[in-house]
Amino acid sequence: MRLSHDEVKEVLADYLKGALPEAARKEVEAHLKECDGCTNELSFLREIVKIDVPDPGDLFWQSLPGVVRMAVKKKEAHRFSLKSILFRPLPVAAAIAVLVLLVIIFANNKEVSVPDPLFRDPFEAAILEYDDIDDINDISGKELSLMTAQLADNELSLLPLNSIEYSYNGEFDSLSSTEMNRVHDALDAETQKGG
Amino acid sequence: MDEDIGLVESYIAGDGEAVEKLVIKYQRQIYAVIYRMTKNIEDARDLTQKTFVRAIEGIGGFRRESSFKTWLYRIAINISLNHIKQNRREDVELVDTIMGNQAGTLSEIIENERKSYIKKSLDELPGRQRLALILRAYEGLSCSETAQAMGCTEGAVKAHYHNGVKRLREILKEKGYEIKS
Repeated sequence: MRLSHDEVKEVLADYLKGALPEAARKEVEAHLKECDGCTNELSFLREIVKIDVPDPGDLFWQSLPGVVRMAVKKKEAHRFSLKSILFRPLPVAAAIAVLVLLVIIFANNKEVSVPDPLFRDPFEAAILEYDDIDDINDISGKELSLMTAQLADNELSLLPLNSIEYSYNGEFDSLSSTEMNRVHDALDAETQKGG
Repeated sequence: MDEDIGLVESYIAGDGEAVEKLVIKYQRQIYAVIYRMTKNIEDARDLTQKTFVRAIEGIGGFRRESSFKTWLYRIAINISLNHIKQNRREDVELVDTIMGNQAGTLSEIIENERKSYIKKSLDELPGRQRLALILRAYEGLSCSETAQAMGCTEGAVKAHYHNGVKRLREILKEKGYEIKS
């Protein structure tokens, strides 16, 4: 198949390099005999490709393959170590985050009871610390006075600081046992009445 | 191309020597195209190494839609263009490698001078025209391979290439160098 002028122009560079198949090469040569334009262009190309590339030296050619191989190996190793550094702290960081969360949740839920220094358990105050007394009837009048005085003090400590309530323990202290019985009977009678 | 695919697969399978074989096969071509773009020997050395390292690292992404060769050229071109963009400077070319440090015969001096003018005229071409000319005329890539390496259509390659040749002739003519058959 005969090549056109434009087609020959397209393949002149390939012809110059000797890269054309036999049939195409013959076509080009036949065209060149008839076409000054293409002949001029071929000459032009022949001239400009004479420009050599400066040789970097034999050492460069000999070392380049090994250098490339080592560079690739080094980069791959660096990438793997980067991976291991990236991945290793992740589970650690996740575990720390979970722990911190648990601590925060636990700290918010726990109620810390701080004892109020002014608080006295009334049950404690009611306990009589008289381990040596077997029978209340064995208590002498003097001992009884001391006990009631202590009771009065305990009762006072249970009262709120701004309390204006009056304690009758002082008055009862001065009553005899007969008089105390009369007071109890009177109180019982009042209770039955609903007063 | 089958040989290249075989080497690629060997490397992926764990054969480190396959890397060296690929480098040996294409190192001169890649160096040449990078040098023609950057016009600096040191840059060309560094970027050639960078090209191969990047290609091997990214070999998993090589889809085999093009040949390994054009894929490699594509990487080299991109790296070179990025380098040129980052290092916009006056071209400090080691012209002594072309002109020679010693004065030779008259014909050698004239020849060297002509080469120097051609090189400088090439530098004056627009980027894509120059690249198409380098790949087609200097590197011997086919139109199809050049299109893949440049990331454009074959029609665009043809246009860039022909316009580049035409413009280069005009520039040389302006400088007083007319190449005739």
